[in-house]
Amino acid sequence: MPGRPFGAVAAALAVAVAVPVVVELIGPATGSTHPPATPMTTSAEATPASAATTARMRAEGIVERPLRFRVRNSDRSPAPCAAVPAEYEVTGHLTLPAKSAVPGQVTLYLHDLDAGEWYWRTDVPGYHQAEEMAKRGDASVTIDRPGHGTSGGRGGYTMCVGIQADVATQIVAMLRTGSYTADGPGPPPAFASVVLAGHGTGAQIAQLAAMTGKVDGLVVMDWSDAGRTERFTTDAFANLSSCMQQAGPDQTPTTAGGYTFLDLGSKRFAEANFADPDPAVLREAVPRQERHACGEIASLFEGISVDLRGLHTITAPVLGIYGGADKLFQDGPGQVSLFTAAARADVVVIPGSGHYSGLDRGAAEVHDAMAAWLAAR
Amino acid sequence: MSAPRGSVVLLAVALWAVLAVVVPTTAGAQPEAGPVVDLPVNFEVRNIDRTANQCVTDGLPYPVHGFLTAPAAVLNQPSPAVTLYLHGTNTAQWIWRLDVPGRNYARELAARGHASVTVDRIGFGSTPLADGFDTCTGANADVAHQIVDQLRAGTYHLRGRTPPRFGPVFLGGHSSGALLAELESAAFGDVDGIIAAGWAGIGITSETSRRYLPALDSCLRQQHDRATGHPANGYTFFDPDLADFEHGALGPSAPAAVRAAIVPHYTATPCGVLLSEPAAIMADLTGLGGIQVPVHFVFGGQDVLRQGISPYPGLFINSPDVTVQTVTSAGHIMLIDDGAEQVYDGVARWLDERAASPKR
Repeated sequence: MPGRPFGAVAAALAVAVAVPVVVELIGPATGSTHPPATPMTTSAEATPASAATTARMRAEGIVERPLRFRVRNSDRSPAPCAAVPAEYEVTGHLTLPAKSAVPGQVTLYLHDLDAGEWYWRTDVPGYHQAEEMAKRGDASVTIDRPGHGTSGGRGGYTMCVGIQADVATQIVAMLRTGSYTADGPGPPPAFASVVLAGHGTGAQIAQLAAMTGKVDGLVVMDWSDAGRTERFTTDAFANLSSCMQQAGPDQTPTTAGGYTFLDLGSKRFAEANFADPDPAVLREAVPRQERHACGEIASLFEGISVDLRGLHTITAPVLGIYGGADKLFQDGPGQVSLFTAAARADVVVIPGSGHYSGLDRGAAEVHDAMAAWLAAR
Repeated sequence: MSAPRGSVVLLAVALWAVLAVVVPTTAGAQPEAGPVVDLPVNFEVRNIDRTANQCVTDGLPYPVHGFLTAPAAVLNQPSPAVTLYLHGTNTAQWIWRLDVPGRNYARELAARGHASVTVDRIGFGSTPLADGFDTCTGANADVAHQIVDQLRAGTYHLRGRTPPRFGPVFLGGHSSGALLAELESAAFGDVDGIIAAGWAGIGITSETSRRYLPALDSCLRQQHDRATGHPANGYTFFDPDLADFEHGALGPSAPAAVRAAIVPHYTATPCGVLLSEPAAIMADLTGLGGIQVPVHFVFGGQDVLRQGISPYPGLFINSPDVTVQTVTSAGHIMLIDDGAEQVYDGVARWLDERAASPKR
């Protein structure tokens, strides 16, 4: 919002605290209630830590439902690339509170490069974003973006941020209509309001999606188009060079090539992304670093140019959340100030947190800020 | 940091008008080729992108200006062969037409019997854009395809005579101009061969990164400037300064006259081209199997912008023949550098062998 003071988030938070309404869980299509679901166990929940998470959430009355979205590999975003025609499934989870703070509303979360859905579902108490949001009354959908984790859409050289944005837009539409598959009792819920949240490059993708698709809110975490640090640019270009050295005409979209790490080695991955971590979080998160598609890094910089051209067209309310000690992106307030047409624009900077602000010790501030903003929006 | 675009337009138009009357002329290297003509040529194209490197363009019509340089006798033949030459990211048409005796590539090839069309890509030289973000690599490649079509159909404008309809059409590119040639051939399959000079999709050096990253940053800062209400024209310099431009272009033994002649050509590059190159290279590398025509590589042994490129020709797995020529003493723009005669002779021989029996 033009001229909006960034301190406005304080007001938003105050509003959220003042809102006493905790209403029934949203239901299918109309927002009415649906049969109570039983907490699900998924194949990803096989470790002792994840079993503990499942048990904890069950005790908290939080429901998890594994999801599958059938999507088309296309790019109708403002950041064009040549999408290889295909269909595949994007997998994820719906995490629902026992009682919803905002009936009929869900947030779709998009993870960063080198990450996966796990970023939002780290099995350490207090750091599982979906669980923490459910405890605060908010429904969350977390996914492995195409080409990551258990989702389809492999194609390291042919993936791009524009395709990712298009797929996110498709999933937002499916969440509105309930036209996806959800394990567990009852039909897949249809949500009247869908907020898009992204972290790092996931936030860039969310921004691109918000330029063309209808979203009811946009949360930008630890991404700043103009606030890239020299370290990010240098690492990204080195990453790109490495991709070029391994690319070739025998690497078709059906082969396994074209995936790479932004941060080489677990030590650098931890150092780059965390500023003040709980050792338990590091033990859970660092081994889960994933390679990302070369095409994402190749399209990212042109995508930044598209962002900067189009952020002023986004009308949905915007919340920016930033780690003040992020080594990759700085100037969150500057980024949020570019959303000049947004219905409202708020920013939260967590001073001691790094790029993985949702997994550093200040994670609770991320959860609280989001919950307050979602309630007050 | 960017060049005053309005002045460039006026200068380019004026030069084009003056040069229009400088026909015909002769070349000196191989007089047996007969009189050589050097004719201004114009193409009407659209700034669109149908290649594998989808990128941001304005989709508008533009004129592309260039020259047809050829032995007069060749143009009188039925369906003669021609090569369309495309320059790189930090240069323009001038690399093929340097005003130094013995270093004008187009004239040297004409003296060896070959017709050449050289052009300024959209956004460069005689076709500057008001907004440098309005074109990109894929669009420049699409424009090359449109020009190839027009060269075959004779539907372009040629000062002083009826435009010939060419038969075999080859694409020659220097640096990212060769990237365009590869993208064009993979997308449209309409050319008879590719000459790729000073280009490989691999082997980026620290000297390349040292130039590209600040240029990229400058372009993105310009977009940010615009987003915050400040004007920017979308142009930036690939080479941080003139010394870097020279060092990146030429080898240590470059002739002094060449070194002096390139100085006025240190100009800014459209940001849209710079920003789209990473994705374009990725699309190119994965699409090289779509190139099914002969390819001739020319490398400068002293090129500081690309090294370790020997595996690159092997990626052209469906080209019927791939040849490599290296001028050991030359730098990135080997076609004007020390040993450039080897380039002229090598390319002419390659064209002699292929123009007579095009593979397409």
